[in-house]
Amino acid sequence: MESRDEEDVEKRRVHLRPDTLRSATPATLHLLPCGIPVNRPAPVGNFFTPAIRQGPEGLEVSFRGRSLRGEEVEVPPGLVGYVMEMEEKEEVLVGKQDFQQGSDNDEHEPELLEPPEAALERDFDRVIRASGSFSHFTVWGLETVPGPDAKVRAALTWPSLAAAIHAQVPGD
Amino acid sequence: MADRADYREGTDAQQLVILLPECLKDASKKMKTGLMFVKLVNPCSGEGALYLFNMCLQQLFEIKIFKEKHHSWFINQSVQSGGLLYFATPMDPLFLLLHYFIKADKEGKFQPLDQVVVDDMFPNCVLLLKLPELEKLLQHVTEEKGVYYIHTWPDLLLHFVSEGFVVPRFYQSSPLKTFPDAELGRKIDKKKYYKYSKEKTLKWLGKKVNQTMAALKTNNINVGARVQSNAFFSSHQISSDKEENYICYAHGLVSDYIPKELNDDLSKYLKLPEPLASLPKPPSKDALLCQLCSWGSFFGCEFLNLSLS
Repeated sequence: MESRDEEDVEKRRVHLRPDTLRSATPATLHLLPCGIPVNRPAPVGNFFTPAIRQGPEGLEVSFRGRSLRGEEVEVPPGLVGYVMEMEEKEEVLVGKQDFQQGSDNDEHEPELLEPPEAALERDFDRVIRASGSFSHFTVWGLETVPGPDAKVRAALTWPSLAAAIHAQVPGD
Repeated sequence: MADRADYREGTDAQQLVILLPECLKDASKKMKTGLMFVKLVNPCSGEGALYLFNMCLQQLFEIKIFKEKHHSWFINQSVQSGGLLYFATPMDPLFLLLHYFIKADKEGKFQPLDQVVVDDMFPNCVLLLKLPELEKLLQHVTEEKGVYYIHTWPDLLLHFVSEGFVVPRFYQSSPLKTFPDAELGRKIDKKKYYKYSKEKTLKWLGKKVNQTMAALKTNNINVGARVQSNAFFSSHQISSDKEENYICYAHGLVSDYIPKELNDDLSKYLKLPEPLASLPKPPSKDALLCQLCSWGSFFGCEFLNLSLS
């Protein structure tokens, strides 16, 4: 494994389609205060969205019989929110992804699953695209509004700090 | 797919929620390709971390992830587990270059950049060499020697000319000789050789800490919370040591990008008080953001070292 060729390096890249950053359609996002251990379509527009009410303390809704209180959170200035997904070709590779868990040496795995040439074609130039964009989302808390102390709000100050940490320092 | 009965098979459509700098959207008009996620070294831990390259504008972004227990997303008409929020923020490539220079420093000699930035684990590190103004950046952390290769005699007799003197390459008996500028003009190649300088690096890091402190102040980040809740400090100290809190917090943020050994030197260089320096790191990064140590769940791996309160 001393010398890797260009293809091998390429395998370790996921290309983001730039044009999708402009074509992405507006998406509606809710950050829920509970874990739902699946990734799948859900009839949010049938059950959740129509039940949202404006209450005295903020937005109100209920989920699985629990009362939620929420508020809109803006994406910090200078940033755009995106929802991204892998392009179709990659989405069938669930089995392989499981196999990759906890391993950094992904160059070994294709050989174990199938012929190297097939693996190469599959891994090569993985592509991710932006499917949705957003400028704000709704943060929900259990029974109380998340409020200014919500951790997600603190996290949103990260880009302004990162800018300072990574700005070039003046020379001598 | 949507009405599949057994949701356990519904691993379709993993979606990633990410905040990107607006400039990437604007830049996307001009580019067909050139935006890519790659795994490179985390300069603090030496493990893998995720970065985003813009090859068109030659920018490097770091990917951080917000994760809090018991959260999930509703994204349009779908549910996404985990509730992760990714951030892509500009990254100073010098932190990554520094990682390689410190590693190469064990050899203790001047080396060209492309021999320093070499990594079997993370071969994509070659992308770093394509970033602009590397020579200017490296001045902050390295000593350098400009070396010219000159054809003075038949082609095989290449000479190193280093800042005005000649080092014979192929035969030691050749006398050292100063080349006039006109002669230097005939150079066929110019290469810079670098060597890690701890002294310059600490100075550079000191400036980094200062500008981070300034940002903490302008953003009104509450740096005192961690200290107030700590039994070490009386209320008197909280008010009088405000400045100290800022510098410790800023140091904590910067220390996330340098190896531990260098961090110890930085603490001394900044003259940080011992008790404060040994306190846990600022909450903002421990509790809220973690660097991706692997490709991340979205990319098919588990998170490593994911300790969030």
